[in-house]
Amino acid sequence: MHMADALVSATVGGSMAAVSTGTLGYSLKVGAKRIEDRKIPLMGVMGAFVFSAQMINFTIPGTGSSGHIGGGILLAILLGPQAAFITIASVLTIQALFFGDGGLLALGCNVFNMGFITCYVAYPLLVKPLLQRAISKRRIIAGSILGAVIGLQLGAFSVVLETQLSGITSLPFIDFVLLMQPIHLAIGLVEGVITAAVICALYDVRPELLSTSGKEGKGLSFGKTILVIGTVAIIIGGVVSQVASSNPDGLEWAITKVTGSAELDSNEEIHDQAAKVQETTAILPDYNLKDSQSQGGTSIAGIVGVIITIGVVVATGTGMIAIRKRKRSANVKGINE
Amino acid sequence: MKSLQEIKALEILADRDTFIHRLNPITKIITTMVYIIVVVSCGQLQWPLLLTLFIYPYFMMLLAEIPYRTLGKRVLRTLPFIIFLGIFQPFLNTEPYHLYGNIVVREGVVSLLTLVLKCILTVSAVLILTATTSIQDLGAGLRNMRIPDLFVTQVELLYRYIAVFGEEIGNVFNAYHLRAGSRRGVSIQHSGTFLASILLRSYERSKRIYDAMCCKGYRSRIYYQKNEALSHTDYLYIILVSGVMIATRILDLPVLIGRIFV
Repeated sequence: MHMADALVSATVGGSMAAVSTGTLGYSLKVGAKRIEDRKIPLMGVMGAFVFSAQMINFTIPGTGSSGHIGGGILLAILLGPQAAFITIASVLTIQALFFGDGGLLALGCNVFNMGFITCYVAYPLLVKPLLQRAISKRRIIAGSILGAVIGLQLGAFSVVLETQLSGITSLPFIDFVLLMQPIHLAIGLVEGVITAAVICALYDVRPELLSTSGKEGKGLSFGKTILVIGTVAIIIGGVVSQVASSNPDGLEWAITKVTGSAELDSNEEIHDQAAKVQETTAILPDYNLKDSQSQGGTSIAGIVGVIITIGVVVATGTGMIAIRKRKRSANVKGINE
Repeated sequence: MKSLQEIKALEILADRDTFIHRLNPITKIITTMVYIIVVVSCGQLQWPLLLTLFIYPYFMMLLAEIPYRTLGKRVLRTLPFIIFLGIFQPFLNTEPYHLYGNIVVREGVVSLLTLVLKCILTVSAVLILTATTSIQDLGAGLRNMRIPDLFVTQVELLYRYIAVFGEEIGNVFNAYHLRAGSRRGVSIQHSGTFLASILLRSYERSKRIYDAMCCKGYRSRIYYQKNEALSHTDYLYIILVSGVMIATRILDLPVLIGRIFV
């Protein structure tokens, strides 16, 4: 579910980075009070555990498929939501930097989709209430599966929203949702089952590990969670209006594409008007919209331009390599002499 | 445990000493971000521009002496998800796009290709950053950029312990297979005890790590790091590289150059 940089626009990436940085700031501030010093290496080690554990795929008998642990709910139960959020954010940072899983610009989106939703929505609203009253294996199983499934469903929905707002795909919103949600329902179920199995096994041998997180403050109340979600919705809403005005080939455009030819005339009007709005509002207008009539000419100019630029660049590069080789061989000669 | 080998490969690359490696980490982080923003801001049909933007990874790999194969493999691995999302484009966006002379393709095909190009460019930019900057330098850079210390410490600790747990998981994996007969993989029925045993080892280990850190004088923050200010070269590099990228994007350089000749 990692979003790559190529899937987000600068506006969406930037806005989500702001939301995630804000949440990270909150987690660090609250965390600084609650996270004891000894928990710092524990968080790092747990992060490394989740990271490595995700590499193990468990086979599901009779299906031929396999699944791995998500880790978010497990971390929230063991470390508490703030420390878990910081840990997930650091896991995602390492994945983006060293593995190319998700990008730097999309990091804010990924931290929101996998960290915020798990730690500040799924955990306090679904898992914590179940485990706070009493801990039993049934409650652990129900909480883990519910938390993983709902967390992943919301996360996948968030991926759809972010991609659509970025105007990356022409896939209609509804189709995109129908494509993403069922896949992630299956993944969520498997993740939930593995998470439940791990927590039940821990509960058998070291039950105190689970109870410690319960004592750590109350987490977010329902009202506060709604307030946080509301704030995020307003921020995203702001982004929507911006993107919608400057980029007509987003959601609405895709839907009009699929609805058929009956409304084509009115759609053309909308398209033209939107193009006019874009021409006046966009800072970096797409040149093909501006002079769509000369599209053929533009692409030929493009081809020639690319060939010339790449030619110059490769020639310079080859020159650089030659100079470097000559210098090195001169150095080696100097040493030998 | 291929991922661990990949991390190791990047670490070895980051240990070299070239002009790019010597730049301040902040400089590299800023230019990488500018480059990524320039790439993602390109329109769905601006493939000539995206092809031109290959100059950045090309020169960086050349200057930093990064082998193409190491980076290429990693970049290719990130493509499936992008292709999964973009594969519908050719069916949904059927507007004609005049490529050259009588050659007309669907706009959707062009937009799928630009999406793939964007992915290749952005992923390679990030990997070039990590292939030219060690984790300690990255950490120092992030701290100097006022990223909270606790978070940076987390990233560093996590990075350090990935290799340790990779090994630990390898041991548990071997132990499981020695007793599992001809069964392939680990069954989901055993996932609980399998992971819980690794988790408990990790938990105990973290206590030992904390004690060791305290013995070395750790008091909630790391004091030892390089705090070099940006040099003139760094400023010049940021202005030059960002300037060229932004100018290429705004002026649509390939089309501009092409128009002179066509």
